[in-house]
Amino acid sequence: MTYRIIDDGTYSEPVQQALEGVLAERLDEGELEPTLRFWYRESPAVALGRFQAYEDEVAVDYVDQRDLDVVRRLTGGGAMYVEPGAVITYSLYLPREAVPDDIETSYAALDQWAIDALRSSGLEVSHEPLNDIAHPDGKIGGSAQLRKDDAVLHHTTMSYALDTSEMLRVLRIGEEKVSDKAIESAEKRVAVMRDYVDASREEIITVLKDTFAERFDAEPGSLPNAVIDEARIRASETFTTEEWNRKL
Amino acid sequence: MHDSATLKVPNGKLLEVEVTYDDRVTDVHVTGDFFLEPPESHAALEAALEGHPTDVSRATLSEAIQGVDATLIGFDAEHLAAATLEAIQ
Repeated sequence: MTYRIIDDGTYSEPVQQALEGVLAERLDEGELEPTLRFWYRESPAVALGRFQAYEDEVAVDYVDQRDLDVVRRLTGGGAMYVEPGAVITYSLYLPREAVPDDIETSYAALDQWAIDALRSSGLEVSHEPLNDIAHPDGKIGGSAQLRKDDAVLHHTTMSYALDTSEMLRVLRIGEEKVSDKAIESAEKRVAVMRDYVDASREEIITVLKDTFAERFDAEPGSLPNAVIDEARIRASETFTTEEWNRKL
Repeated sequence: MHDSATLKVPNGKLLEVEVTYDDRVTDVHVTGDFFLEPPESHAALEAALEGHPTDVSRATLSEAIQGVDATLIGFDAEHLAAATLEAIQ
């Protein structure tokens, strides 16, 4: 099995999230090779878990004031605040037979190459069930999956240099339901790579790509224009709409 | 009546259940950072919790949840039944 590694294309958060559905479906229909894709974003945004309630997760007035895109993902899991140069996001689109059936096993298996890559960069990270990449000082990243009949999407976002104070203003991790003490611990629970390594974000991405290519058969690739066009249509029809983003 | 309950599943995800009821449960919303496969089963899961009398047993709710063709990830039927009952009580 030969993977494509796609490491280009900067898109808005709604288009990025739309691409996930388009690419997972293409793979499911046998129209896409197994692929590893790195994300480049246009602006800071919030990615909500599919089943999260909008008003429970984001500081609504603050995200309106900052005019942040808040986009509901196709995948479950938790809300993330993302900034273009401060997080690393990648997606794997895989045939279902290449992924363990057991969910917990599959998260660990699909995160392993990335954990090994980060370890080789000097980051003391490990997989923490169900879907976290953890450093002794806190969570560095998280993954989420979507399963189709013949395809699995596994995407992961990691903090490279995320502004965790800003994250706490954007997300309601700390508000109301939780005490001040909990805010402090929430902030502590997020670890960012740049606190531990000198490598730039680009260098970390290079190590990730190299580790993946050493472990699996992989060739560089790019997104077909038809995929990008389809994602732009879905972004405007779904991932930019209140009907989808605020549906819960 | 309208009430809600939040349950952090030990070693699992957060479940928030919002329930509207009179003598029966008329409307249920389940949100949180959990996973469901297929994700489209979310509506069926909520529907399985509706229509029961407010004194429904946890076992009956749990059975109704298990009747939905879905894989629950980060929680199980017992957790969701317990959170739903807590919202009603």
